Amino acid sequence: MPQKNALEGITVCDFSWVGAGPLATKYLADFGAQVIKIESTKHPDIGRLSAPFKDNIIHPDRSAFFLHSNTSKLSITLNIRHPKGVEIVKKLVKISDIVMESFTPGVIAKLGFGYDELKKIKPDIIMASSSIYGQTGPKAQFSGFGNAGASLSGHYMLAGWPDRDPVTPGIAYADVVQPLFTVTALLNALDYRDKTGKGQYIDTTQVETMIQFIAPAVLDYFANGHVQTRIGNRSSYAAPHGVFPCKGEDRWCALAVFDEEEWQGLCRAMKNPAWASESRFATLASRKENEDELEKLIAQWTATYEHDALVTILQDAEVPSGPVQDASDLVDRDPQLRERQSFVKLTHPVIGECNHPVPPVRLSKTPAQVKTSPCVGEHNAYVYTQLLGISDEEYVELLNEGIFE
Amino acid sequence: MLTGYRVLDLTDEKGFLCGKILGDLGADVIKVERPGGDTARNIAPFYHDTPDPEKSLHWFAFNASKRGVTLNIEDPEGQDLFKKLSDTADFIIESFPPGYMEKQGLGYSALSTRNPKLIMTSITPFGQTGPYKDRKASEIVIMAMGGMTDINGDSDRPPLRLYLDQAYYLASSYAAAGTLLALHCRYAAGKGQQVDVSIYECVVRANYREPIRWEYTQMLTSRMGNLFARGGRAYRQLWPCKDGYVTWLLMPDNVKPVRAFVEWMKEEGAAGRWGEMNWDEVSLLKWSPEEQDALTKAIADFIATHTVKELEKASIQRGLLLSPVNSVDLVAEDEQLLARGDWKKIEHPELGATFNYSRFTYLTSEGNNEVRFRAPLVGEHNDEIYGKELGLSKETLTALKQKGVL
Repeated sequence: MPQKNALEGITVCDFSWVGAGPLATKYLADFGAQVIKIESTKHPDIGRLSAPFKDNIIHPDRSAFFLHSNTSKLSITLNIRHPKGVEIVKKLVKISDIVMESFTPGVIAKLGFGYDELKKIKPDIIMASSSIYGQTGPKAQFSGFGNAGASLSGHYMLAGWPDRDPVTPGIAYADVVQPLFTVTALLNALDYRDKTGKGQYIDTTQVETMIQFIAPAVLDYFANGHVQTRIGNRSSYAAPHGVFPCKGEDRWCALAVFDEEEWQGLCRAMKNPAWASESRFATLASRKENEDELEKLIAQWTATYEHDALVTILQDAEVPSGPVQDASDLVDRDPQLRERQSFVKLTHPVIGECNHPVPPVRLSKTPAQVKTSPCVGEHNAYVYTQLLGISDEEYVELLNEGIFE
Repeated sequence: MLTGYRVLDLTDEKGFLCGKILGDLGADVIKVERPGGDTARNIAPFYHDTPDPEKSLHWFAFNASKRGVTLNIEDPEGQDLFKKLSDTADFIIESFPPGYMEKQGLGYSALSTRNPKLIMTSITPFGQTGPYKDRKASEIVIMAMGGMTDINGDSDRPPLRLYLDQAYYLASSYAAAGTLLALHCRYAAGKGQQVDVSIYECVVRANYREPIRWEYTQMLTSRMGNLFARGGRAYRQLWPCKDGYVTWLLMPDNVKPVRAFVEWMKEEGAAGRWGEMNWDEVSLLKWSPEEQDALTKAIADFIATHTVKELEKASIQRGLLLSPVNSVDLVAEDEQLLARGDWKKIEHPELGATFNYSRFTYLTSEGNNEVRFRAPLVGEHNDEIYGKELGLSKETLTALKQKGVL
């Protein structure tokens, strides 16, 4: 049985917006941290304006993109540029363990909430800034969206076919990668604080985290002077290694052969055609040398099967293999995702019942407990009066003054 | 910062990066390899292109900041030794097929009975449970099943994976975070737990747009090269310029960078009718696709007349949200990364060589987070760890070596 939430008792004051910042605090919130998202009614989080929307109605509380990046959080609206808003932020920082932000570098300090200021309010505060290129250095002012990290860090030049321009995936990949390091940084900082009583300031970037994900290519350059380029679906240590056609329209199967055992398995699955025993395909090295021809012959074989039937044959022969799936497979049919409740149905106050993404990390005793995402300012009354102890009278006064806008 | 914590790293290439992240943070990460060395030592690229288990740059990249021992955990004596080692550990990270560790008598329940504080993180293709848990899979298979190849590539070619082994790196990074979550819980609870990471689900999470597109619009994106789908439309995001490529995206929900581009074009007499608009009142969301495309084309034509450096400079000054597409040599020479001290020379005495590694995963004001030393040679720390630290005698070690346990 679950003991309790992993991050129970941890409070996060969250200024971050759009993709990479909110995803980091989403994971903390899913594991039980109280994440208070500070929003503005005048300058809404761009994530709230990102498609798709429920019933195709553009509205800050109807964005599925926002919902998926902000589960389990609380939302307040606050004019952080008004002196009274500044005072409220200070109160929030006082009850927080972590402050997270993803403004263009320098902006948070100008607002009066730089790390040095926050330390005066709460000496052991942990603060993380998430940016594309870093808080320091000549290009610190660089700003861009999720694709910037992949572009600057060398990823895009590796993506695609050798005979064509780079191909960019349909996601802002760095927005997925960077938050994983931000979460690690914050959890590590909590551990450090527990041991030493000290907070810290964390500077995570899209470019530097993305570089970790092409580390072998980086070393290949520094050690050998090689500038790696695009190799399509191939792998330096397997052959065949690719996506092969099956019967039907746009149906495909991925398969990969890394060692002799798997090659024998594939040959068995193909019912040992004569070509498969030719010396040009006998070893991994020779298969790499004759990969064009190898892929053609395998594609001729795979094209005679429905993709599910082919995967069954390949799995029986213990060859790494699986069908190319699309989002409808994942959302509507996939038995693995269903059994592990990778999407969980919850009711959002405006969107209604819909899928919510569960972290792909299962903790046996303290699993994530995903809640829905907040509407704009949904938790104003709770946070201001209950958590910060602002009296009802003062709350109404501040409300009328437009501080909660 | 994780100084004082010990990690036993039994992963293969699926999980290498997890231990590397923890090792850079100061944990004592011990890579436990099979006698003779991990088969992943045969993964290219190699130093000076010479295939050799001690020259794999892939191995170096993901196993720096770790020590290394060899151990046959399928042998009873090896299992006993592993249990002793695990008594000294805070974390075990492993990527064997589900059930393998239990079969060796080294499952979580057996090990945590001896060491209740132990945290065990497993990184497997589909996780420890579910109908697919025993399927044979590899990186490209998981990417394909997770929907990432379906949306990547050109319509006239097969679905395309990303490059290198992105699914493994994603899962390893999630695993590092999950491991530290379990560590946080250990403070209050006093006990460890299991962390089950499904590489497949990591990919499904990375593929964040498509499942919501399907759920909310019942539409699927087909492979479309450099186009980026947002809502019901697709926008090209990679553009040739004078001397390379840049990425830029017209986002109808964000008018500022578009306006900044038009202002720059106006200064150079290339803004056409868009230069005459009152941009305070422009809402791109209300524009027809044709209107959006016409402006995008004008911006693309303008991009084609400028160099990467000019475009990058203008983007920083004007907020165009444009990015150069760097190859790895340009990454290595990038003045921002140099200014932040991103590269650190690591010595490889056996190769008679010293070369740069990425120094850190993130910067912090307290404690250290950086790559510390090169990856271990096969069995490099056997004597140090089994002998000095666990107190095994020289004779015992020699005997274990001869029996093939080490």
